[in-house]
Amino acid sequence: MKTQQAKPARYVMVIDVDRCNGCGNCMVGCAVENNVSVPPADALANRGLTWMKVYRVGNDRPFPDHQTVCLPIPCQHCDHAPCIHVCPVTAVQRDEQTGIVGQIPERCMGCRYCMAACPYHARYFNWFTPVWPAGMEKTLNPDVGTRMRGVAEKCNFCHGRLDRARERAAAEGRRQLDPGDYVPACAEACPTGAIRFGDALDERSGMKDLLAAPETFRLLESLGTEPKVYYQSRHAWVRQVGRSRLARVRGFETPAGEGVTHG
Amino acid sequence: MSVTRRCFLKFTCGAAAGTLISPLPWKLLDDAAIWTQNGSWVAQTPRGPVSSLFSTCTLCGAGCGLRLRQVGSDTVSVQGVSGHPVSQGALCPAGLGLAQILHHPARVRGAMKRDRSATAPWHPMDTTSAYAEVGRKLAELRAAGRSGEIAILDLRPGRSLSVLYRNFLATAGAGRYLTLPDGRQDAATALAELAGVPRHAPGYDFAHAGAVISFGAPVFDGWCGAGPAPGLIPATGGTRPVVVQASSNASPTTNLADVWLPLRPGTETALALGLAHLLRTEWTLPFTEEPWPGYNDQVSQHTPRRVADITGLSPALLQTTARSLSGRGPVLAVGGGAPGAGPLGQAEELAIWALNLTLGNLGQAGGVVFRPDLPWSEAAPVPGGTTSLREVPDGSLDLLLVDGSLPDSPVSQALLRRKMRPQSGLIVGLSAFTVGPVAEADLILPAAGPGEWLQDVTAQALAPRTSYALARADAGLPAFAAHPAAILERLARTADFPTPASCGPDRHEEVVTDRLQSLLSQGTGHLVSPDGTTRTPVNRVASLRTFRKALLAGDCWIAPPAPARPVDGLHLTGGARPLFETVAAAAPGRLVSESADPSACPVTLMFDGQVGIAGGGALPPVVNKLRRESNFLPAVDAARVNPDFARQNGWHAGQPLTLTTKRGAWPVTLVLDETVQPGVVLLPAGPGPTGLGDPDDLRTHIIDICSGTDDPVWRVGPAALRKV
Amino acid sequence: MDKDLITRGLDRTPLWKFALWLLPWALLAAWGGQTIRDMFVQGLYLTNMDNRFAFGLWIVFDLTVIALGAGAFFLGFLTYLMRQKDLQQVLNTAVIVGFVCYSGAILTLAVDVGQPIRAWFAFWHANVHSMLTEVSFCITLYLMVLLIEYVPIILKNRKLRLVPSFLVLEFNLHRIMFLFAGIGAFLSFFHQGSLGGMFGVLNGRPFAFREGVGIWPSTFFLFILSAIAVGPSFIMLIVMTVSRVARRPLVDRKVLTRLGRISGLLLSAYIVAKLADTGIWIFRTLPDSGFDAAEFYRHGLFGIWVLFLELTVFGLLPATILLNRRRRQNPRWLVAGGLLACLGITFNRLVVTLQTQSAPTLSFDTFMIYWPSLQEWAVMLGVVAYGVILYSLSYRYLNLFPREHELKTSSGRA
Repeated sequence: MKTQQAKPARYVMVIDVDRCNGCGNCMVGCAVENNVSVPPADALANRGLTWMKVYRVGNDRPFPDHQTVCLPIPCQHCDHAPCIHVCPVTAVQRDEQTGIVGQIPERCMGCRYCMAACPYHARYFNWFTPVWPAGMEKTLNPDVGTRMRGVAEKCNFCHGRLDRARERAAAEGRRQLDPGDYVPACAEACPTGAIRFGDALDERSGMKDLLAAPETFRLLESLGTEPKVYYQSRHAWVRQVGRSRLARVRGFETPAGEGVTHG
Repeated sequence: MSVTRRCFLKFTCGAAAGTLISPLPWKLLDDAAIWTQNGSWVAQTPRGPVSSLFSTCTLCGAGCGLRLRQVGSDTVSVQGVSGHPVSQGALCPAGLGLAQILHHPARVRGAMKRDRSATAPWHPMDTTSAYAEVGRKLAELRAAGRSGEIAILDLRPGRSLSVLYRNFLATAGAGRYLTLPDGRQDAATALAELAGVPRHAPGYDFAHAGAVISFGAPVFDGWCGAGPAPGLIPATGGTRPVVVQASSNASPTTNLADVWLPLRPGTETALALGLAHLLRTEWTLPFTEEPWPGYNDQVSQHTPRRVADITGLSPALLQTTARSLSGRGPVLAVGGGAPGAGPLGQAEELAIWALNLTLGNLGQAGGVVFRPDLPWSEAAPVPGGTTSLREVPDGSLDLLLVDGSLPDSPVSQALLRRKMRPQSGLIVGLSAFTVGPVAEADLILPAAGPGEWLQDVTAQALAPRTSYALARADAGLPAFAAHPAAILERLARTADFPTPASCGPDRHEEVVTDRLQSLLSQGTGHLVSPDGTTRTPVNRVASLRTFRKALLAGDCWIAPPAPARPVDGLHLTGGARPLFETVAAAAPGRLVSESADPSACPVTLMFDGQVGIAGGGALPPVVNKLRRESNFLPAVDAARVNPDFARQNGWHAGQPLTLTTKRGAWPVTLVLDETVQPGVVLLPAGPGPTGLGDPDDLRTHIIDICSGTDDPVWRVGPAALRKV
Repeated sequence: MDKDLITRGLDRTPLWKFALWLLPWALLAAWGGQTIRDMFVQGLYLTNMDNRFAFGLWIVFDLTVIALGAGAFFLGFLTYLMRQKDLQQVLNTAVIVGFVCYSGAILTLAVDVGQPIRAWFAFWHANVHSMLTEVSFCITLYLMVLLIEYVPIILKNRKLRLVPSFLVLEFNLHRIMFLFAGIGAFLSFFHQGSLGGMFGVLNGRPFAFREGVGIWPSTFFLFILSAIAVGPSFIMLIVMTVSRVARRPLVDRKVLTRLGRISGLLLSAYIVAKLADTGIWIFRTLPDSGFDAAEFYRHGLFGIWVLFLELTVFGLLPATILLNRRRRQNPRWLVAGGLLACLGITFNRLVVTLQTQSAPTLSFDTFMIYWPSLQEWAVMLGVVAYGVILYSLSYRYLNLFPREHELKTSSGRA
């Protein structure tokens, strides 16, 4: 039973790259929440299901000027998502009420066109029939359906948690969700608070200030996909790495005095 | 009217064509698509009432708070608890997958015997026969007066179970109680030796520090669970201490720190002495009593120039470091090493404590606080004595029982084997998994896994606050597994020991109850709720029953904050050992000989690994899957080397090479990594090649060719790389 | 033995020789069939495709055969609607080649998708914005058109035409064939274009993305143009191959050279359009997306030679050959020109599928490579074998070439 929200929301995620220590908690929390299966150990690289995936990116400088940051990349929930308009069976839809780009696994026919379209490589295909070691199916999350072989899947901002939050709110007689009622598993698992999540249209969430900060950037902004996952970094080179490929290819420009001091 | 064949055919064909424009065949096809993909091979999610409860994680020594989501009695999700007094909401990847670990493929479901001749090392064995075999050996040793050759390796001392281990050894006669301290425990022990005051455990008070100088400790990415040390990453808008990380190779902590000192491997002692020198001259710190004779001379010898020569850091950088540490409030020097990289070494720890003394932060807020001990006596004497495993003479044990805890740092299996008598020595694991510290054991007795038995959790070494919590048995105990105390009792009975019940589950319950009672009687400290919001003073807790119930519900007992003791009140007296020589010997660095083989390139062998994972024990399958798929899990033979260094030696990425130490050789594959210092080979500490801790993995862990009794430091060691 | 099934007046090899000819193709088809079964039962992990290479050999194959099979609709268009009567000699072949290409492509697609039972969802839950929906609709409907065009040829078989109702059906179909030709041309125009549009609309993949007219990117038009340029060449090559294998002339020489000339003209137009398109892409579209053209040609096997090859060796060269009348008269040059044109289209489809996915988008992406697995080759070759078998049977038992008899007797006399 779902409550129709009183006002539309625009859920955004803001990831502070300067806080991320690359622990991988977000990846594990996501996989556990969303019943992501474990492909065989000898599966080819790039056959995995990592709805949230942490990339390590270096600044192309030699030791000891080398710096690495970790970029957690889930589905970016683009407002102009390339995957939505290419799906032939309308298995991908953007919810106008929340902005979340959802995937319907029962409708997907596995053509993988959406995967070719996504520039963030945030979509994953079930190359194998999902299996869990004996007994482990008892640890599956009942709020999230398991998928089948041959369909694509991706992060959906833990939509099951949104449904639960709405149910709880309805039971308490509220029509509006409060900030903190609905938090995806990755944000909850992050030990440094690098991943923040909230409704950008809700003043109480504090997202608007984060989005307006000068150190905020998005990945591949020049492509016009309008992602709703924002990143923040004080370091100019990190912002350049994220925004476009040209900056990386032509060499970073690091303003003087910036970065970690070392010999 | 007669129905002709033609009419009939026309009718049926027409009807069939007609159904095509009705939804019927399409819905059936739609459903067929769903039916064929939802057969019995597809996992069904569990059904039942959903509930939430709190507990404590026991996978490593950190003791992070957990919120468990259960469907019926099955745990389906584990999360940290923000505001938790011990972990501040942090949890590590292993903890997040805790629900899955009890169904790990390497789970022991009956006694297992090792068969060295076969390709699959572990064979199921009849449990009764297994107990009979071990019991027989125990009885023989006791009867022959050789109970001193019986030992138990407790990988997590301080628990109630540890008391039972000691009771077992006492009832065996003169059994030895062994520990294998990790880096943080070593650091605490080093200070205890210096101060001569072993009862007061030191803790780092990060929350009030103004600046932190860390010697390789993962203060940003794994001090407390996978999270940062408390206060190092403040809530939005807050300020944090300046952090200087001294580490030979880059890491997440060096990336997040303010200053990174990429010193040469093994030169931490020189750096600590050099910083003491710099800070004394720069800051004109008050002179303190020498922690050991000759310390002041040592410090004055370590001028910036000398330190620069030894460590490879420029004098200018050292000056910058000293400057960045000043004027911000209390400065804290952090030792303990990193779980994946190994303990720093006694000389290094001594030099770092001495630096803390120089900084004047001993016993002060924002520095090293001396936290009150738990009211029960820790050092209950064991007839056979308590020793570190490393100090046990080789070949002097005949029966070793290995605790099934998952260690923070890798445990060298060769080290265990060296302590045993060559022909007859028997290593028995009391473990829920066939991987980890029992990987090379001879026999495994199936024990309960995390969450299947009630454990108590005390604060980790170097934590700022003394704490006590209970990890409840939220998952039921399966029929094939036994409570560790039940295993001890059964062994004692089988061996006909005089007081078997002194080490059984009932006694375990009694010990826990006694501990709760002594906390209650002491009357200090608070009972804090898992989210940190409710704090009840202990002296207002109604009864033992209420106290126990609260702890089982996830509350923690937190001791009052350590009182500030001014430096003058501490007298660091030299111990019997010539500390001056120890420190002096380590100051130039630990790298030793060049390789005698001209075709091999001498390198420095170092390790790294993430907290919760580096110990090499069983990990939730989902963790290894994700690390594999995101390239966070280097293959166990991946030797990471600086690209420039590789180029100089004519190596290329993916090249197979042989790594040799004085203890053995190991085949490796070269991986180019810019975060590694030139001249260093970095190997991963952690799970094996398939990442699942494959029980069929026969390869010796790399750590076995590094560690030894003569030099317990395996963090940095000389090695050679040769082309295959 | 099966002489009664063979068209009167024509001679074919003995049955046992024909069976021998079919045997290797049948084995290949069986291998393909077995692999298809494995794919359905075990899963797509048997291929070498992965999350970064979602489209592999099969998609390249689909795009190629649909482009090559464009001869069917284009020749039908020319014959029925543009009244180019002499092309009728090759029309039957074109229809069968088209049928084989489209049915083979649909079969390959059915193996390629993860949930083939749900393929009809493209009709049931159609997404009007997706190029792939358009493709699904059109190629399915066009396959039916091709079937309708194929049926009369089958019905004209020596034995089957003895059935009066078949003859009547065939006659009636022939009367409205121009209608089907028109529908076929219409459908083909759109799906050939949509196949190009599929890549051109990928605004997340700057290597493939193109600006265009309205909702149609330039690749929409380029694909149509290249398909109709290459269709006639492919038919020409097929006819010449069959001629060589059967050791007899099957059509008038001037028909073949005619096909070559059509190909040459359209190929020239295609090269001009492609040059213009590439220029716009390099100097406007790419910089606007924050990418640099040179970077796409700096990794792995995909160097600048790719562009060069596509435009000159596979573009200008066959165009010049086929436009030159003297060259067209020489069978060797004709084959060379046609072959280069067909290879060029294959190469173009390969580049647009594989290089798009190889090329990095995020600045820390690496360049990826992909090689098809044995199973992918098996399915592809199996489908090709199916095509050869179907065509062989059609050649043997149906009157594909109306002028065959005349040419045989006239050359026999000569």
